[in-house]
Amino acid sequence: MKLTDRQLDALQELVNIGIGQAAGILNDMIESPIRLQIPYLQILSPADVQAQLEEHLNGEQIAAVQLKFTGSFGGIAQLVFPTNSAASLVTMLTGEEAGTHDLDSVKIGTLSEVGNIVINGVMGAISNVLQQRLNYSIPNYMEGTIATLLTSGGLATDTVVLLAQTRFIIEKLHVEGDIILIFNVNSFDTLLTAINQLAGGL
Amino acid sequence: MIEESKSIKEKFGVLDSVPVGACLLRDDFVVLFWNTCLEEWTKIPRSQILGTKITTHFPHLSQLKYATRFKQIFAGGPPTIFSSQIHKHLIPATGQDGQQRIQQTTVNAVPALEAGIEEQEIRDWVLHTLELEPDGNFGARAPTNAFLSRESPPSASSSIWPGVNSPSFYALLVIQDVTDLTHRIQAYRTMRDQALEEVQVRQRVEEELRESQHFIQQIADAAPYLLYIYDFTEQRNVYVNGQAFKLLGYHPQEILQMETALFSSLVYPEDLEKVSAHLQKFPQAQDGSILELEYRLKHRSGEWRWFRCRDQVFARTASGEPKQIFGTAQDITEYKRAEEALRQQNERELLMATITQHIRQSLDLGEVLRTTVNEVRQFLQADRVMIVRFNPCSGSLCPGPATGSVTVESVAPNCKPMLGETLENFSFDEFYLEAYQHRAIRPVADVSAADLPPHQMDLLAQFDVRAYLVVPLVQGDELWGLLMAHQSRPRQWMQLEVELLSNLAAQLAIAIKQAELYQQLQAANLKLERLATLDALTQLANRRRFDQYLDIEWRRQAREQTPLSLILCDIDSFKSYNDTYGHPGGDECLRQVARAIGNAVDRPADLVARYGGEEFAVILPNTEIQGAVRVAEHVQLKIAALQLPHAGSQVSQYVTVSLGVASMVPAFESGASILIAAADQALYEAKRLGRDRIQVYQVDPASAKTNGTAAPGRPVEFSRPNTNFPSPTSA
Repeated sequence: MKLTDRQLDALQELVNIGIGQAAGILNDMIESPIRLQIPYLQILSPADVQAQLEEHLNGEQIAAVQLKFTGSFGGIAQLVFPTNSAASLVTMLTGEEAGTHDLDSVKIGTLSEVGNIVINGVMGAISNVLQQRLNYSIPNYMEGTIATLLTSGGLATDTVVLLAQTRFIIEKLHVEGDIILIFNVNSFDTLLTAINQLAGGL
Repeated sequence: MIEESKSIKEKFGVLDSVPVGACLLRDDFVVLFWNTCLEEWTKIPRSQILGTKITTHFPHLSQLKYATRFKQIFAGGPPTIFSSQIHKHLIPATGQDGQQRIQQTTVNAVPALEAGIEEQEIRDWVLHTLELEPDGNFGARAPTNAFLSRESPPSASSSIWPGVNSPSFYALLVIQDVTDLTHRIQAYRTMRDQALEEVQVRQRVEEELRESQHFIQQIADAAPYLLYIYDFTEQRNVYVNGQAFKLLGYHPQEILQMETALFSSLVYPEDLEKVSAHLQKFPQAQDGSILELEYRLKHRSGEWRWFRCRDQVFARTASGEPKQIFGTAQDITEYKRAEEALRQQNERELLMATITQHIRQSLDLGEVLRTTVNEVRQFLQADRVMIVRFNPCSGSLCPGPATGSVTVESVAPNCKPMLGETLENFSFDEFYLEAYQHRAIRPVADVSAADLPPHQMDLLAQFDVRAYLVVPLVQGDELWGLLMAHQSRPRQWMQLEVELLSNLAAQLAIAIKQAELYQQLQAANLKLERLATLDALTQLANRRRFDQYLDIEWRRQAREQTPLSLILCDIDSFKSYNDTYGHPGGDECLRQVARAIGNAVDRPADLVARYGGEEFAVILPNTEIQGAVRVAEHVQLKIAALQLPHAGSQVSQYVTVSLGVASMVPAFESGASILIAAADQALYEAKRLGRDRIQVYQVDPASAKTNGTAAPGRPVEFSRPNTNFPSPTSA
């Protein structure tokens, strides 16, 4: 699937809005300004995503929060935390030093909520554009390699993946890390149509 | 509103029966439903909260971090999680124990009632929400199933809601009390962290211990002495360091394997008692006090080595008895050797000093040599030590001494003496004599292995000599003699012993020289003395000698209280004899008379002297008056027997003599002069009564004793003129 620059820009804008909202919420929660960089967007096949992320993450064990959604636009949104980032976030939000050898309940609870905030921000922005209510499953936390995450949705290999990579930076605490947002969807058609309508309406 | 409330109560009343907090908020935060569980937790009854804004009861919910997220819900956004880890609780409530309930809250967007949502759907939401319990079952697989199973209820397609602006969603809060769970998890985490820490601490301690053990082991092995721990109760070593191999030739493990045979295997037998006594001191030993001991241990090679150990109590039993002893043992073998060498050196120097002193104490050669052989034999523990004196070489052709004789000897009781043996053709060829001239010492450890000539072998065998040591005694360039030590068994002579005898020989040579010089001096002195005490004409003792001897004898007889007698003898009419025969004739007469008197006196202690011109004296120690008279008569007969013609004599045709005899027991108070005076008085009487007679000095009858204290009395005549056989009793 090939998107035009204009379409990609529109998607980029959507994601920016959602992430910006999430950053606002996180700011409120941790009383230290947290900055989320403008994400870098790519549309890829699942195989390409896997190859790229495996290289980026060096095959390490990762944590992810998944949100499945259905409706006019269906798929799985995942937020992936590389190990170091996960540890930084947990420490920052709970004040507890999470064990690095296992992902205990503190880490699970914390990352679930952070993932929930970020994904909800982006999904909110998308659903606003669609002007349609989507149905959501309860958010889900899981761990594994990038390969298991990408196939866990049980989606077919012909799906399209929107990969958005960004960084969070908490300057006050000298903490920063990667956040990777993966949209695994059957088709962007509905979304693109809605965007086009919105753009056309402007 | 009432309608709405009533409807909601019907719809959501199902949530009163679940054990979780559940409440429904409208987009203006007005509480539409408040279940009994929340009533119980918050103590706020439904009647007070329904229809009011929840932020009036719980103001914190108006904070942006909550309000913003709620607004997403009111807009129909995805379910929102308020985790217990970050928020602790959403609706503050205390539990039965007074503790804040820890809450995990999930908020779902619920379409407004008009959509006709069914009770069953609400129940499903709640139940599915509850499946998200953070009970540690978050695996990679479980959520997948949850996903699939959860897909159906919220996916009611009817719930697609037109328009974002219409307030068409409520927020359903499902609040789980995870206090117990949290505490359980916290307890578990604490426990796990403690366990982890303990493991780490233990690992660290073990590592440190290993390191320190390694460190100590290295130190222990690097120490230049034995380190050991001896178990007092088990009577064996439980530790010994690596030095054991270097110092004793045994690996530490081998030492430990000796078990209780440790001492019997290693300690020098004579030292065992000492070691045992050492160990018995420990029960009384204070902590920290160090007990020292020196003893010998056997190296694997069989060599004995000296060790100085320093031991202290290392561990005690529960009752305080010594359990283990920690000690170090230093190899002091070299030190001991040096000490022994020093001791021998001292001993040698002491011996040298002793012998030299003895030698110097005496100038008598015989005594010097006797001292030497005795001291040397004692030092060497030899069977025989002797000095062979070479007989002086006679004749100019003689190249060296051919014979010698054993002049001094010290010999062990069971050995055959060689004293006085003359060693013919003296068993030494010219080679040895030449060597001896240069003071070469010859030690022979075993006669049978020394390749000696047969005649010498025979001689040595005769006196059972199996080993010997020969030291030449050299005087200037002359080989004076040999100092020889004999042993009746083979003997390896020590360098020390050879050196000692070498030194001694040099000292001895000096002593011999001194002694010989002394002997010569003695002879010269004797000659001078004789010259000084003899009368040149008659070869009798002169007057000086007479006075000296009389004085000596007077005092000696005074000590012994025995009588001393004196005869004075004068040739009658000697002046006319000189006138008749001339002085040479007179001198010849004196010589003949002197010889006659000398012949008449035969005891060694008696002294005949020329007292004056023609006057002679005889001192007779320890002699009564009767004995003295007999000597005087004897003198008179001897002179008569000479029949020397005397033309000028008034009493006889031959030379005659008059004799005065006195005898007394001397007294210290008076001098010998009174004896001379007494004899002189008797002589005078003899002359007065007509010459050629013997007159005895008579003690004054008034005097109680006949001794030097008595005043001289009248002399008594013993002989008659011209009588050849006078009667002693004639008076």
